Amino acid sequence: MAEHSRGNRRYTRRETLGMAAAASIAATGVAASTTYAAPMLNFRQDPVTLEFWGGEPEESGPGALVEAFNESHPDIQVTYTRYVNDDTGNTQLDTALQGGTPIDVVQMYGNPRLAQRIQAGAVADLSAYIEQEQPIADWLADEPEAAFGNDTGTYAIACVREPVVIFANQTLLDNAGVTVSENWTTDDFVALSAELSGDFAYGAYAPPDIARQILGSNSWYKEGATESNFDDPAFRQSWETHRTMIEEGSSFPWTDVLARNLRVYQQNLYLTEQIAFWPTAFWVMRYINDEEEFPHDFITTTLPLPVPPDADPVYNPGITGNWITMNPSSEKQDAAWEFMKFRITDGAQYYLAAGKQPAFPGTDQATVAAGLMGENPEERYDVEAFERVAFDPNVILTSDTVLVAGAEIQQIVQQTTDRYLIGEIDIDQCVTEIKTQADEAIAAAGA
Amino acid sequence: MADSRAWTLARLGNRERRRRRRSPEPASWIGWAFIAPNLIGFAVFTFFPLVFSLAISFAEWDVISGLDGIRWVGLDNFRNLLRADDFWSSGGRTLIYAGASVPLTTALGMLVALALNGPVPGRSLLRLIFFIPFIANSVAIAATWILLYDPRYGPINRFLMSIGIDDPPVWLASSDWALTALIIMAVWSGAGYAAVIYLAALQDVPQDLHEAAALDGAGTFERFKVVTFPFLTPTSFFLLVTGFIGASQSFGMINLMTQGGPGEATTVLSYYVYLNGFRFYQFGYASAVAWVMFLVILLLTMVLWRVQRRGVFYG
Amino acid sequence: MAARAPGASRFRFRLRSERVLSREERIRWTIVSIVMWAVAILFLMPFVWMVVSSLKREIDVFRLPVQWIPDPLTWSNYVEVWTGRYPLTKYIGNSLIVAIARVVGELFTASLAAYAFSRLKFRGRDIIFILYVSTLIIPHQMLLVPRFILYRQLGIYDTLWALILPGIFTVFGTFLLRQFFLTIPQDLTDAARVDGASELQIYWRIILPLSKPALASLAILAFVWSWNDYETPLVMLTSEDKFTIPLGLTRYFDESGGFSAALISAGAVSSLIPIFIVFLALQRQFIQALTRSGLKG
Repeated sequence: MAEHSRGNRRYTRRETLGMAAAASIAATGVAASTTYAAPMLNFRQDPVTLEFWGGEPEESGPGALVEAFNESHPDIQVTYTRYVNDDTGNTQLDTALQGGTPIDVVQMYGNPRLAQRIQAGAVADLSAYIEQEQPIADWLADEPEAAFGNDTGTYAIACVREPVVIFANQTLLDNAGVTVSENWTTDDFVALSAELSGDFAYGAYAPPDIARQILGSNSWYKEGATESNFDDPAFRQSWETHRTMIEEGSSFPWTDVLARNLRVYQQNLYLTEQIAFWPTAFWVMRYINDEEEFPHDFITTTLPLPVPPDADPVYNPGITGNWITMNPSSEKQDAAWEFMKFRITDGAQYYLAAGKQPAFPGTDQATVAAGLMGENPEERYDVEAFERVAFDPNVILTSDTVLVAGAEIQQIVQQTTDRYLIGEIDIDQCVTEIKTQADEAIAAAGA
Repeated sequence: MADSRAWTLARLGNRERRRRRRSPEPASWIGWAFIAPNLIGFAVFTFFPLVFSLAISFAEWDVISGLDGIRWVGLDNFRNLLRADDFWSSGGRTLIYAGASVPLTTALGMLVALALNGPVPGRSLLRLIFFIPFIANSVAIAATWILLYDPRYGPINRFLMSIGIDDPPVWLASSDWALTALIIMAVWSGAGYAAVIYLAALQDVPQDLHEAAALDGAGTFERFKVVTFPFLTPTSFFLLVTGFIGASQSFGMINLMTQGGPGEATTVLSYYVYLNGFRFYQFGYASAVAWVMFLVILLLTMVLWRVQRRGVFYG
Repeated sequence: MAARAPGASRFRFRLRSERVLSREERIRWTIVSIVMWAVAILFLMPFVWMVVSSLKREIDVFRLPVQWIPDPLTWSNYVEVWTGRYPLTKYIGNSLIVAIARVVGELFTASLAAYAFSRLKFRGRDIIFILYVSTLIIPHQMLLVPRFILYRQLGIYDTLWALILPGIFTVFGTFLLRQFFLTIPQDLTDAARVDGASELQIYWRIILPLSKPALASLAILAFVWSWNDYETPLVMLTSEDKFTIPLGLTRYFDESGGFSAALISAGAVSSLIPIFIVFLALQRQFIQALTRSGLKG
């Protein structure tokens, strides 16, 4: 059966047909605009049904998205299945994909897994479709990190851009008499966090990822990806800064983070006013906006990331992600591509309430801001500050495309820095261990 | 123990005498017929998947490539795992974890069962309460113990500080103490399960033997040692074996509470298998590790089997 | 060694629980009772935490120090769980179907096999038994993927059968029951055989009735395991209307790994009710005064 034939090949027969169909449709002069009307596929009698899998709960966006699409496209009907985005849930997705379950479009998270799936041939090459779509092709030409691919093709398109910003508790800032300047540096951040720390609050949850700010994409690897890059002084600086802040009491103690499993619960710390500076991304806004479950009475102001001095250019550790992909064994690839386009462009607005800023620049800023901040934003946010920071055009996002032994290295870095931050090992040990183990992992992966 | 066994056997002497009248042995095929339903289902749903996983341990496979993506590599996985430091350290941790938690759980379970078999007020309710850790949602259990182990506000450390220990361990955030913390949790959650099984076994202890022993003047402890304990040995064997197996496999709590950390402090073999299989997409390697674990535990089980042939008392 | 005969006259021998206790014994049992109840509080904690959290707002669930009395008392979690968009009743229904089917099936096949392993002789019996037990050792996550492939072939993927069938044919149940059956004296079965009873009759009339506590404990364990099983349903089911409870609760997780602890607690508390019922019902096996005078010598 065709669905089991995989491996590295340029285009399957189906894709070639798909391209031919797309070309012929384009040739009939249907305009490629950002709103897609039904007529394109009216040579079909019954509606085509598509299976769309994603990690978000239905009410966080997919539900509204699918409804809107189904209404405007009576000949393509989409059903949403939600998978849990943890290890076992991803295994469910993987087994479903390879086992021939009819899935057409998948939303995936995290570059290492995506890379693994591309390598396994479980994701379709979209290059041909992209070429036919001028707005998308132009956008991707401008922002190459919004597409994920390699020399064999482009396999995924980002739906969300997630720059890292710092949300700050305005009340705590006012009480300590702290003001933050536009171009503040990492040293400013450290100093101000110290001022903001008191009996029950810490200045910051953690410093931002300084190493990534300095090194940018693929920071873990040296050129050629045969060796890891952890001997670069930027990493040392990053980790040492964090630990120094913890020791000085200006950053939340890492023993508590581990003991209470707080990595996944930072919003609780921020909203119960235990931290003032919170480096995070917009998806947490759903918690800030939830007045019922997370009532709080301070205003959140938005600050740009502090800049490491002497760094040029300065990157934002944030990413473009939430990749939308197509299953190569899907039998309705044209219809699937219709839906994917919708998701990327007009459909992105339905995810705003979950704090997902669209990656595609089609939606106007006012809609995005209103969607992200919710109703009556002045009650919770410094609106002007948010808009200024969120739509800052000078932010350079990162995108990791080299992912050799990515999951293993992620595990190594986390485990070892955990031990370093709780004070069990010192910085030299930390750097050496990470470098050695990462190199081993890369070597093993290449074997 | 020797003379108490003799004592028991003497008491059962009349039963032995009755046994001398040999009864007709049932035909061999009957045995097979009784096993058949279980065996056939087992073969389909467990055995064949097992064989598959054994086969995969000789390959490299990332699952998503489908069956065509299987790459046979012979003994490479086994070679690699023997060379991998973290395999050995995970194995060592597993031995510590299982070796500590299983005997403690079994012993505690026996104590609880004995206690709840006697005239304790509200004992049916108590049995349910001791069983709660077994039935409670793992998220709730994890959250409760995270609270208990909290370095600052948790009752355990508050108690330790109140009796003068100024620097109590940070439990889950400490490489030295995290495994111990999990062991304590394991004993707590396993005791109820062991107690339930022991309670069932205790119902089978013949009353008349107890009475006879008391008549002979045996105190409570003697009676326990001589009468009750022998009847509990088959159950103890069962609990030790399944307990050891279960402890080696236990993974859910670790995943919820420490994710193998801090560092690698709580990465036991089952977590190591999980990481390699489900996150690093090295399904073949993970299978190889699982099968090596199998061999080790099989050896241990056979040792315990030998012991039980001598020490376990069957009516 | 306790004192001899003079104490004996104080004892009147009936069933243990009805025996009159000496003063010494009463003191001992009082201490035991106090200790047990004190320890019980520790064992109650997860349940109490769940109940308390289910009545809180999300932000209060993980506040430290812990608020043991929710303030404000929030009932909305239960409203959401029972009447919200995720049908808890359906999940409970599915869990019940799967659990009951599994338990009944397992009791049946395991007791038959256990009878054979404990009382019948046939070639290779012990070897097969050891191999049987040894298969328990493989972590069941390793079986997830092969089973997935198998179930697709069998056509039971994304059906409740994928959860029920493997649960009926277990090694664990056979092992547990075999150990129990071994403690039933051989002479009972020998006598019955001499009297001409078939093995099936012996099994049905003699062994099973004597094993009620063992069967009850297996039933409880199997029920609970089925009830709390998360990984198998996660991989084998994709249609929401077939979800069991643990899978249903994952609907309250979001895509970044965070979850609504308050909602999940409400769901978990709600789903514990059937288990309590099952447990208390099967409990009686342990309390019943067993009249065994004729059987146990």
